[in-house]
Amino acid sequence: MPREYTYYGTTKKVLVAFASIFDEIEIETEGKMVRVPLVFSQKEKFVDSMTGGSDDDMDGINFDIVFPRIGFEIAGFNFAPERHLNPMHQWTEENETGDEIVMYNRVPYDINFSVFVGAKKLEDSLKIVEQIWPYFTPELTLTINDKEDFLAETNIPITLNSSSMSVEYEGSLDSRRVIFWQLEFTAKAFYYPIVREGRRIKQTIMNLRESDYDTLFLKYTSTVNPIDVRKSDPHTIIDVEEVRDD
Amino acid sequence: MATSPYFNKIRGVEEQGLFEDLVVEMIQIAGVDVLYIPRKILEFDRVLKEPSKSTFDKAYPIEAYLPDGGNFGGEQNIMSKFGFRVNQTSEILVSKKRFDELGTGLLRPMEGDLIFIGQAERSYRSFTNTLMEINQVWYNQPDWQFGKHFTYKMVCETFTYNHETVRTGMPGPDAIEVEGPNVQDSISISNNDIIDIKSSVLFDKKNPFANL
Repeated sequence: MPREYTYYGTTKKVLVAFASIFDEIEIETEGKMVRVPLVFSQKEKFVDSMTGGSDDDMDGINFDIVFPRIGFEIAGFNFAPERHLNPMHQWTEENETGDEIVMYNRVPYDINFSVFVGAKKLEDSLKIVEQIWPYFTPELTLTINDKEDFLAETNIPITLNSSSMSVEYEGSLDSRRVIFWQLEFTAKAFYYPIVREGRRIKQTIMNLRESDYDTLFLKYTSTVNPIDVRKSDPHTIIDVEEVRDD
Repeated sequence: MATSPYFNKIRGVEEQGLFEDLVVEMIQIAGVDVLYIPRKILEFDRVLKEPSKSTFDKAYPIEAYLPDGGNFGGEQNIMSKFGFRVNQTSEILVSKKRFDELGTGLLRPMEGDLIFIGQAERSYRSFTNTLMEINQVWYNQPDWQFGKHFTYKMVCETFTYNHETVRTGMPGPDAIEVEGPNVQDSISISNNDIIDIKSSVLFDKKNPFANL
């Protein structure tokens, strides 16, 4: 069955809204204020190779990485039946040309995100997570424009499900201590189905007939004036009643 | 049973001196010049037992032998949850006698100190410019020949920069203070992506609970 193409970038919008919570975290370390870099972990591999990374045997300096640092990734999607509303309910709105647009009810999905905090010093990592925790009680609600043509401003509650810490300090001294935090979040988002356009009815013609003889005796016409007016613009409706005797 | 009185392997001071000179000469012939950069801990967290503030403000040139010939081990270039990383490991040997002559005031190379391998003063076209952190120092390997140890074997890994102050006066290692944060350019790009789309997001970070 041929399907109409539809993509609203909803996941990307929620991703951006989610990331905006963490993208300006600063900590004091080594006697200076440092903005903690935020990385989308699931990026294309060669992107970092182009912009940073090793410059061995050339004129750059070769080292591991700059810590502390925050990474985040999309961990999964789950349908949320408890937030599911009547699927036959329709949203209607007017588009830029004044035509009506119609869409069936949106579908609730929980999007799971993982946030990772990496640090060389334990206290640096604590300085980061202790700035995150107070915002989540356990929810933080963001409002996003996730469907602009329907003027939808959707509240997206983001829940902090768990925070776990891993410090690999045991073992051989040949390897370094690794400090790693993983915070799990759930964002309660919605996905939107196909939007269909419907032309607005601007004129109605009612023909009244006598049924036995099939004769037209009254024609009643209602017309929006001006005919190309939008719903919200000032307009009148001209009614014309035409008596026919044929 | 006693050991043979004709072959003294423990207290042969003359043999030790000869062998140590040979070790020094061998490192000078087959080794590379590196910088030994000691860590100065300015503040120490007595609760979490970690340095809160460190600085690297001295660099001591010394010849070192790289058993791997500069072909570093480790995972090399890897993609991690935090982006691009360069994980390289190496064992670096220096003569104990030469280390004592540096005048560092240290009894031995310390874990947490740095080794810069490459062209310290002019990094362009160097075979490598790698900043390594010492994870462990073996001062009893290889096994004692003539009753003495002649080298420190430092087990090193590429340095994880944590915004420490690196002002050794040598352009090579000091470049990390400039280049380290600049590597975050890739991060800024991703942040710009976020800002571009953020115009459609109503969330106010300064007032995050406004919509509750």
